[in-house]
Amino acid sequence: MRHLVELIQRVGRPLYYFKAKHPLAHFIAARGVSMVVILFVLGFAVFGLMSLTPGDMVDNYVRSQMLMQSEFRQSDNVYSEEAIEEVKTRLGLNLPFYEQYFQWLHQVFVERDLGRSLISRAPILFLIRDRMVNSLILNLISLFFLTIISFGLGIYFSSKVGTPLDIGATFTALFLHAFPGILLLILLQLFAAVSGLFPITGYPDFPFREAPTRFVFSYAHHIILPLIGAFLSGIGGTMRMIRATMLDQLGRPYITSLRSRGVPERRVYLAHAFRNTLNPFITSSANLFASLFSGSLILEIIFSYPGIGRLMYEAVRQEDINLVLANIMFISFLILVGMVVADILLAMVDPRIRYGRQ
Amino acid sequence: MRRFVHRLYKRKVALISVVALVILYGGMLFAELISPYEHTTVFEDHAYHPPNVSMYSDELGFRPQVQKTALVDESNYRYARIADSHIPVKLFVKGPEYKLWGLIPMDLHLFGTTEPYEGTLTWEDGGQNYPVYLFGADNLGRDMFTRILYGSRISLTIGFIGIAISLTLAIILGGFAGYYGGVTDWTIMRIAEFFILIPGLYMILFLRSVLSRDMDSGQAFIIITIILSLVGWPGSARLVRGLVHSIKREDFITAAQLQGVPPLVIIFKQIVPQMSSILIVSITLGIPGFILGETVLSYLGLGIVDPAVSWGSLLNREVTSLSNLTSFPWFLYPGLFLLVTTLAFNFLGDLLRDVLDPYYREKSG
Amino acid sequence: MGILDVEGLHIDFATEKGPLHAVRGVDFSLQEGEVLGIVGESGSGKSVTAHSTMRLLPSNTNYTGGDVRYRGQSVFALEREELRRLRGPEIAIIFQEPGRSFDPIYTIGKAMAETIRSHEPELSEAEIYEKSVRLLKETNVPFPEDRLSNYPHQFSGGLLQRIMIALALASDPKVLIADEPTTSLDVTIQAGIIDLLLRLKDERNLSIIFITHNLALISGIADRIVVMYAGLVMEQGSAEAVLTSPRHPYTRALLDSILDLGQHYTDTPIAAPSGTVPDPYRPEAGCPFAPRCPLAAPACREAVPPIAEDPAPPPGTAAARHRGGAEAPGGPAAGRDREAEPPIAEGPAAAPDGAARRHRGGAEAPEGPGGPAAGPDRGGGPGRGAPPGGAEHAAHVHRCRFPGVKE
Repeated sequence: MRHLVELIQRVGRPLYYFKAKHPLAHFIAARGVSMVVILFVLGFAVFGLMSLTPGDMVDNYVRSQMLMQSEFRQSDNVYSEEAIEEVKTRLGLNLPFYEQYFQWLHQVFVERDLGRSLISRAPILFLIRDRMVNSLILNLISLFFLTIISFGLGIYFSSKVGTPLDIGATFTALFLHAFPGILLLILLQLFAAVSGLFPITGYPDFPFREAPTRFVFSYAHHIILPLIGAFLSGIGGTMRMIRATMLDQLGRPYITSLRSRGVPERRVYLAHAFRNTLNPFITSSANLFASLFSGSLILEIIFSYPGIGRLMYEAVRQEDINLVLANIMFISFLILVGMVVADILLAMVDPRIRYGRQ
Repeated sequence: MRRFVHRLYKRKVALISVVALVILYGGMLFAELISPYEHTTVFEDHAYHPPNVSMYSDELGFRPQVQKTALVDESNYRYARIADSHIPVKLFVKGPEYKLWGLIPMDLHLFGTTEPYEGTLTWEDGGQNYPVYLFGADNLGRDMFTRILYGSRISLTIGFIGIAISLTLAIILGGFAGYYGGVTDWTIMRIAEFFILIPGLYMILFLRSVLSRDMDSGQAFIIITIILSLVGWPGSARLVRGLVHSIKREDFITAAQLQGVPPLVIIFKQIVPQMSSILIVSITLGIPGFILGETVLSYLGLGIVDPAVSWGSLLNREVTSLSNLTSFPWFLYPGLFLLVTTLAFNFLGDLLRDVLDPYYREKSG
Repeated sequence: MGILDVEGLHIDFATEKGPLHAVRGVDFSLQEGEVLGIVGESGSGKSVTAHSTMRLLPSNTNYTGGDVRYRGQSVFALEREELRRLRGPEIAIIFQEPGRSFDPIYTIGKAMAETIRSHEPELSEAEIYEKSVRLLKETNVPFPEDRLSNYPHQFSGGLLQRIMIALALASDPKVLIADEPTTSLDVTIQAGIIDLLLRLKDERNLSIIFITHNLALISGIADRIVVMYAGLVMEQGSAEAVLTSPRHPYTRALLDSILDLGQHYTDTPIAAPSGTVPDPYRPEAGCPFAPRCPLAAPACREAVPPIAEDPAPPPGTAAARHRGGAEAPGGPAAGRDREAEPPIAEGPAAAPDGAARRHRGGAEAPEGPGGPAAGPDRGGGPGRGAPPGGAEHAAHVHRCRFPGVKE
């Protein structure tokens, strides 16, 4: 036991030095390591969950494999229980879930292959990559607009607190926050169909390579309604949160202290209250990002936008277990990266996190 | 409580919300009585029939009435009104038999017509009366109003059941985390983070895909509720953990500990009452999330399916396709009910938070 | 007229429950170069009054009456930019909780630079740095050059309070308001801060308003004292007069509630005024202290008694006699040179309960000879020198004259 402690200390010493010397770099490294650990455990949980549940999904998988792949196919297309069991064993599906998980990891990281979709037979990596990029573009655009506009409005209304304008805005925000997102999207699409001003789908009907410039304009035209949908369902909650945090900050003693020294009001608002509002916002922005992805799933389905959400939906409907698995792992990875980025931003903004409390 | 009522009168939106919720839940309780038919009652040749109740005609004067129609365009479901064929709508007429609350056998319905539909037989003789479509008919000629009322039995209860399950989980797990701290805290909170990490809908879809697929409506309801609760608990668990963490330092908790009261009892009997007001707020604001979760799953065809009915299944994407919505806009009525419900819960929760949650009030000035 | 005059000030806060009457008619005047102590319980309106002199109160504040004049100019009439130039170069303030009065994400150096630049935009970076260091040195912050790059959470409360004083002085104010600057600090650090404030007052010729609930603390440093209760001035006058011959029962109750130094436990209850502060939403018509006052006359409950000025103190008046009392054995002199030391120590060996009883006893027997007892108890002694105007000693008292005070 003592040796172990000594060992840990010896290994830890350079780490402590590193932490003291480069607090930010250390922070980022620590978050990176924790991210890998979390992802690993997450995969573990996902595989465990799948083995725990009653087996239609595995059976379906085996059946489809037997139908699709010539090595298992039998002439009469009739399969006995024994035959199914045999194929399961050959595919490694009778192994305990953690061994399946390690196999999967091996496949992903060593062979760089996520397997093939059970339905379309396309390589999953190929399927996911494009969809992922599309979803990411969509959500980053809406995160960008959401952040900019809700900050603008939140700050503006926090300076007008108590006025009829502010009360109206708060009410509108609550209304938008409470409005069912799915209904909003359906109504927007209906609007597009009835008015004819916007396309009813969310994505151009020709590929980017064909005509890049035209694609960008067409994309903008297609994406505008879905974006408005995502924006409207997000703005209510975000603006309320920013307004409340701004008011909270403006009520703190340090603001009175700044005013008492004759610091200009503009600076009090922008350089102090606002800077301090950034902090909780960044903390919650990873959650916001995750909820945007959640919302964009519906959006992608309603507006037929080729994103990862629609892929996930189709995979679930078609019981494409490989694809579901890959989807859930990738989306978690993406959100985790978002969280780590948020943490790092936070450490850059807030010295208390960077240095720890002293 | 008195303060709550006082504030309720001052804030009209919240008052309207309470009234709306009372009406909706009243409608749910007496769904069989209020609705003229059962949710499975099919009127043949009346698919996609528009609403047909009017208040005036030269024939009958001012009174609620129905004008008979004939299907003229079978591919587009266009109906033509037949001249001088008005039928009065009467109160408390006989209709399909049902058991109120599963107990009292009845065949009385709040309103309906008394003339037979096709042929000469009325409900009493084993036939059908001419349909009253307050909100129009669906793709099988079933009354939308009836289906919305029956659908509210799932949509309006799933929120309460779901929040009960997720809050129990949250109180036990978050309570333990806050109560014991240390390793327990760390483990539980890391588990909670996993659930927060994955975007809610992806998690729901994933769970939906691993859980069995072919189920009857009762199973579907339970499975959906459990899935939504599993996704919903971590947020509340964080809240509970923080509250327990601050309350457990109080002297009366120490006293209970010294008396040897087991932790779970302390959490439920001593600590939970202390944070009841915050829990009430989080229940009120949490219910719409469950209602919407069910709606989304059913919209995607992964939740409630025929013959069971919920607002989500009424909005199923195959039914509310764009072409259907443009020609039969009454297919959006379930969405309207959904909207009113979520708005009402949110406005009420907002008021409750102002009244009950002093921390939040301080923050928002 | 002083450098800062508060005239009949009324302040309400608009709240959900209706207007909260925080200040209900306050008059006082700060003379140039003096230390004015404002004493009162929590909720007595002392901080609100002080903040109102710089219009620092939140937006739900209504100034319903009266005025605050800085060098004759009404503070309430100032435009936004004029107000900004009042805050800092003319009046500055330091707060109760130094830890919460700094923006956590700015280094001390940036905070200083921002404050200096707000009023002297023409200074260069180097000049600002130089001035920051000079200010920190002036307020005895150790290693100022190194500490400018530190964040507030890296400092102790006492040091932060010194930095806050440095910030307050950055624009060379004429008036400094100290709003309970030592309440959240250790006793040992308190003394240092108070020493610093008094030194700065002499060096920079500051006029100081010192707000506290600690009568013992203020008695050592203030030239004049204003006693506030429930938004009203109960009594004001020279520190000596107020402390040695309190004319208002409330002041007397406050004085009685001071414990002797080192005393942690007595068997007898502390002689704090019984009852609680009146509801600020529905103030009574009469004197707010009347419900708790042992001497209240029926007239006290009907209307706030008018300010009663002490007659000028020729020999033989109450004040003179009190001073005589102070010279009695057991009442050691309190000198200005001992200001940092809590004057509780000056009390005689007599047990506080004894003192309290004597007061009450005196109160029960008006016109009795036991009156000057207050003198020896509190001993604001002759070493203090002549108070700056004994005639100013005034209180809202009706007919409840204390024993020994001639009518």
